[in-house]
Amino acid sequence: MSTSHIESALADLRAQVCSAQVAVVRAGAVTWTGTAADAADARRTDLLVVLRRCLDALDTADRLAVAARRAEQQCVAGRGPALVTGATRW
Amino acid sequence: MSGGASLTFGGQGRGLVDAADLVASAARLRGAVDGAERADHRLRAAAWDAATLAVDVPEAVALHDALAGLRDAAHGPAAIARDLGDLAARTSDAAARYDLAETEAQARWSGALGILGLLVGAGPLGPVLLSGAAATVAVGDLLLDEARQLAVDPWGSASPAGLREDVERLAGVPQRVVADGRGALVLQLLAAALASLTGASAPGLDPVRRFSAHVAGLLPARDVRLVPRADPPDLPAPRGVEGLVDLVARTYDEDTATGEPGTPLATVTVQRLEHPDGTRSWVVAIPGTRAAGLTGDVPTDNGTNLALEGGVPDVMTRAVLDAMAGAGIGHDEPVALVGHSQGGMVAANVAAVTAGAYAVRLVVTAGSPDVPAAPPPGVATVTLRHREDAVTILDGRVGERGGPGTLSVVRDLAATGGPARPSFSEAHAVAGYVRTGALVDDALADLPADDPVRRALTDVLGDEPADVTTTQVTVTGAPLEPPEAPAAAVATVPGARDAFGSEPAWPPLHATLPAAAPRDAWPRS
Repeated sequence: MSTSHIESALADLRAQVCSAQVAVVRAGAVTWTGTAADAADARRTDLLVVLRRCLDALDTADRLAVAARRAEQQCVAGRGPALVTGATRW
Repeated sequence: MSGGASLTFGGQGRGLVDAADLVASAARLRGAVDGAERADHRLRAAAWDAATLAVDVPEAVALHDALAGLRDAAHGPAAIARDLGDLAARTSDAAARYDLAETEAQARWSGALGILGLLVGAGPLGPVLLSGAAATVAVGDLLLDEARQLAVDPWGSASPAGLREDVERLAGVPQRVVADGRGALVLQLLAAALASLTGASAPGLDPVRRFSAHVAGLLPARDVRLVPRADPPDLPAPRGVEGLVDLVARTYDEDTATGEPGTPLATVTVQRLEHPDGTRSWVVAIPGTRAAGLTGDVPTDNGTNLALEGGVPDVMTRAVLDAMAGAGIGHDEPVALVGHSQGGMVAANVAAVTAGAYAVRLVVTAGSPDVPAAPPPGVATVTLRHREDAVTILDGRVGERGGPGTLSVVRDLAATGGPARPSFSEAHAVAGYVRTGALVDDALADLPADDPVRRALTDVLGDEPADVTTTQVTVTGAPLEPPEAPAAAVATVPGARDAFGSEPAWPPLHATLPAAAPRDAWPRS
């Protein structure tokens, strides 16, 4: 089914975003102070907000994927008998 | 902290960087960039699938719109990959700027210069070419700037104002060459020229070290002896890096601005600290160069500098080792070695050659060039350097001093309360380094509690004030006085040993330290 591919992609996307979150949080734990470090710190803060928004968007996409999968299943179920009827038996 | 750290005091305030930490962080961020880019590709495929599905399943239209929208959004994986890449680049840049380890390029450059020196030195014009190259590096920017000025305004530089400007810029060349690091390169080229002139051959070594070792090897071996000071001053126990450098400042001879009255030339201070918990530790303070000669009676001279820089045995390292042995330092009692200028080179050397014999926890150098020998792993090292201090670049190294595990401190004097245009002597003065030590003490709170330097300071200086016993010995190459005189002098002096307990008298009155054997190198890393 197409939705299973889409859901798998969304799961992978979520894993990558979570992995990026870890990298960014760990980047904030290094010994680095000064002007350049302050600028990088601001970038990290912004980036964490962006990653959070991406995860929220993925939540929405997951819900839409579930709805699409149900609709797809109903659609396949509705067409099921015709397919069975037309199937060749060996 | 996984590696060495760099602490800078400059116009933009204080900056602390652990380069190894940053390198690892940048690598993790780059990995995240790759992941985000892969995610973007999968999202594109998923959006395509959703569009295909939407032909039969109308509910998939919303899904397609959401996925397509996410691809273009500022919080989509493509944008995230860009942001992560930017952060990774910033992190890498900071790491590269403060990387303490000798870079491959730096090592290649030194090696190339060494070989170039040998090749060019084979011809009669070799030294001239190398010296010319050194001069070009030193004043090249000035010449280029002058050429540009001439092209833009041919008559401007001929005016009195233009001439005055030129003279001022020319006068400022030495300071500028030191501050921007070109001085190290100039020194390497000059050393290559001198090495080729003198026939020093060791292509594996960088030119500065090769030349230094060669000249040191030509000097006659000399004997020095230790003379305990009868009435050492009652110096306070150090409480931090500032106190440690201040101890060196007070250890200088009385003719200096910071030396305690009555202190002779080439005096070494050994302090015993008795802590409230019954443990004891030691601080050894070593002053810097105070004689211009190469083989005189005062061993803190340029002969010792050449030996230290060339990595061959020197009399001051041997003298400090004997002073430590004579003071009765236990093999498991924490020791801090601190030195200014040549004293810092000696401190690093002593830490290297006493690995396993003493529990050296900390080495602090102030205004010192690097020496070939490095303190062994487990010894925390703090190198203090003023950006305008020409002495620190005499090792011909570019960038930070010290090695892995070092807290390398660089202070821009002009931007941090020092003289606006410091002369070379002002930039190298030990008093300025005492102030820099105070800045470091303030900054240490930024380091993790388990940082090697913080731990070492606590190990040696303790958390609470300790009872301190100060002793001093003078290292001298002067011949012994007639036997009666020194015997009487020492006999009437309580001296360091009496203050420390009932161990045998030290140093042996007539014992002289063995002559340095310049061609036998110290063990080094």
